[in-house]
Amino acid sequence: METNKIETLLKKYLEGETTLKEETLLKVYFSETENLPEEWKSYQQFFSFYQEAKNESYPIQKKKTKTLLQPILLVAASLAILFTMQLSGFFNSSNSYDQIEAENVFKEFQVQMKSVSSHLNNGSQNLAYLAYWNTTAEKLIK
Amino acid sequence: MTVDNSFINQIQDLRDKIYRIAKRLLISTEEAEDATQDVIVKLWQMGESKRSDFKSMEAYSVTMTKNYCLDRLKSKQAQNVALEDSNFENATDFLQNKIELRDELKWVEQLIDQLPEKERILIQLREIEQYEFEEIASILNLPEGTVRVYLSRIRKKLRKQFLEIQNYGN
Repeated sequence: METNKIETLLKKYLEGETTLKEETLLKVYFSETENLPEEWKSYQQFFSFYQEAKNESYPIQKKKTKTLLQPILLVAASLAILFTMQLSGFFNSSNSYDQIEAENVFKEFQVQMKSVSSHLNNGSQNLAYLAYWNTTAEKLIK
Repeated sequence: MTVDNSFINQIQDLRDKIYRIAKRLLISTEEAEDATQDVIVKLWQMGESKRSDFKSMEAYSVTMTKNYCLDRLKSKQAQNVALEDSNFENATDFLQNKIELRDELKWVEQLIDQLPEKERILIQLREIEQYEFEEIASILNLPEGTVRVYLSRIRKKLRKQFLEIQNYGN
């Protein structure tokens, strides 16, 4: 294409007087032509950006990375849980000693509680006299 | 179901356009995605009968997108919150893009995104979406002559700024 024609088109372009057809002509020219004069290179940048920008489309779900990450995360989380359980002695079988001692203490406690309750019962037999006291008191009031 | 399908088909073509315009105005990709979905929901809620009333579904949805985004920007400025957000994203974008080969194209985008929003949408509608002056005039609610004058001014301004940046580099 004639460089003169492009020159006039560019002037019209800057004045906002080019039609859409003329603008596409310019875009095509600048995308196809190499060895442009220095003063036209800026136009080339603009026109190629405009053409590129036209192809941008709505991003359709970028969730692929998420689904890939999930199994890895799951494994890592379960390993972490196992590790903390190990640390806190969940798997320790050495707690049998503690358990025997606890049972002994409990038995001792039971014996003591029984003796306390039997003494309490002794006392409660004497309380039965209170019922008689009530009936005699009622007789006196009458 | 035929009604639904026709809407979905219409939207398929429109969605990218709505997204591009929203992104030009809101800059952030996430906000542009939200805006696109909101606009589509609004279009859907209007119902089939109303939708067919509009001469051009496309022009209508573009206008709607423009209004939606300008509202968003206004409320953002009032709250003065998310502005920093977009600045931040710009900065990271910028760093990434520096590494990319087509460095200079990103300069162009940077220049455009720094324009005031009214100028940004004008560039988007004409240079990228390639609408006729008449259509742009009706979308922006401006006389056709004014659209031409504005566009000419922005084209010159962008070119001047671009040349200045290049001269700094040399």
